[in-house]
Amino acid sequence: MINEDTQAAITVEGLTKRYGELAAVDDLSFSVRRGAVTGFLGPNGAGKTTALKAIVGIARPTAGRALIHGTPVEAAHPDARSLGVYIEPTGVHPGRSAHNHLRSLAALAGLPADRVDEVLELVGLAQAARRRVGTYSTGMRQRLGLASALLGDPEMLVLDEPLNGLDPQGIRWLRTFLRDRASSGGTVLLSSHVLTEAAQTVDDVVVINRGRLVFEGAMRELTRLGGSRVLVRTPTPERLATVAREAGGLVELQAGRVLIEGMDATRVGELAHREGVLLQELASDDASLEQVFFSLTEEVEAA
Amino acid sequence: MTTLIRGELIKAITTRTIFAYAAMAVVLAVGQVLASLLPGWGDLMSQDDKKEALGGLPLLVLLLAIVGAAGEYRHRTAAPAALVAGRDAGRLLVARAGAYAVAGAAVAALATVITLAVGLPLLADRPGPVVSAGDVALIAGGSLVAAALLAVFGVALGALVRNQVAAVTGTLIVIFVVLPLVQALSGTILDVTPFGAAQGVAGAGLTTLSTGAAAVVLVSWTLVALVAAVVGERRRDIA
Repeated sequence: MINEDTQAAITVEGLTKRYGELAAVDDLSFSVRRGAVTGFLGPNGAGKTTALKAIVGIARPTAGRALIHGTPVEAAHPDARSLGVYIEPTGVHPGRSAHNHLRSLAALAGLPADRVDEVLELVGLAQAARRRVGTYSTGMRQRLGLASALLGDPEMLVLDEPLNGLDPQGIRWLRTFLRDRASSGGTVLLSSHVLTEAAQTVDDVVVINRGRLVFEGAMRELTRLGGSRVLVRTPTPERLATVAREAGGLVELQAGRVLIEGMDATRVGELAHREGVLLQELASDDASLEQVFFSLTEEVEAA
Repeated sequence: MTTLIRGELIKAITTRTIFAYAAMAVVLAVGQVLASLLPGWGDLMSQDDKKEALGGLPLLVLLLAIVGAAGEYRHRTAAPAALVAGRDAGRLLVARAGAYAVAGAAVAALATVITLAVGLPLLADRPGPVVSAGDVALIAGGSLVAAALLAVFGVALGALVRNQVAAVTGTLIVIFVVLPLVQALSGTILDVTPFGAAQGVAGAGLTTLSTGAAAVVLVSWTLVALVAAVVGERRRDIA
């Protein structure tokens, strides 16, 4: 018997989707584990949405397959109780109210009508629920899409660019919500074209470009690939520089600050503590993270 | 299947489209009764002509179903429905057809009630044989059945074509351009088309088919279209 705890929640095997001559997704394979938020990253046009559509079963792959808990998605037929999906091009009739839209989905899923008011309250749309969706802002439509995905309180969420169009409050709420979901054993796969935006939310990362996989692993591995850089302010920069060099770091002294490459902020903090070096400022340099994303995607374009 | 039909029915009745079509159906129904009965007032009118005056106009129900089904792809609402229901798209399409059959029959019922309310008093004063209560019941029931079947046919067409404008325009061209040309070549061939058969079921006396035979022809067309649409839906991407 297969153990659900060790089995990947989502497995993608050799997924290919062609539109005529164009391969939107090209022999893509990766897996998504339970209890984690996995970022599905890539620049615009990388094939993220097409891949997600095939993974959830609303687009037929040209080759390969997607499995949900080990069962091919077309045989698993996951419903609102097991899989919540928000993919940008899936929509709502502009002449229908959010309440009626969700009411129809609840009826289709066989869910109680009370659930509609609960999810509208959850995403902060209760006040506007009776208004026609055609009058909604982008952020409100985004919240309605999330409400649809959450309708059946599913264990697994697949969300396409969920942070797009949300205000800072909404982004913070969604990040906390998704982290809580993962902490309680849920599975979250979310796409984004901005790595630094997703970096604060995800545990694992799958990066694709031109439909092909370019990186799969933990977020911290991706950070390490970027040759993590840390900026430190200390009253004894020479002492810290010596300690960091001895530990294998590449050190540059800059007007009272120390720039250390090759180790992350946690490691630098540990070294300073061990050697009794006072730190006045300790910060990771996010520019290096963005740089690794660009270099990964550029490598594929150049190939 | 009941839950799926219920969900699809909520979708069908929660936009203004169905109310606009219902209003048009009522206006056209009244217009048809008056246009059939008032000219030549005082002249003798045959029983078949009197029955035809009360017959329904299922064309609007057909268009309503085409607009609704093709609109699922225009507004990209087919995918969320399939995702939450966890059913294959073909099964969902059958439920959508069922929902529009109910909605179409409801629109036809409204139009029929108005037609009878306006038409029966006028018919009573028009010289000629009396239309019996049984005939009136047959026409009313036939209008509802024709509307329900044409709604299913319309959902199938909308799902096959997917482009709302192309589906509606194509249907109108077939009805108002192609079929009259075909009729000019052969006066009776129209009876075996879905549109001719639907009129026969709805009370218009056909030359070659009885009401029952017209119903068999219409059911056959509807089943063929629905099966083709379900097969297509299972083979194509939903979004």
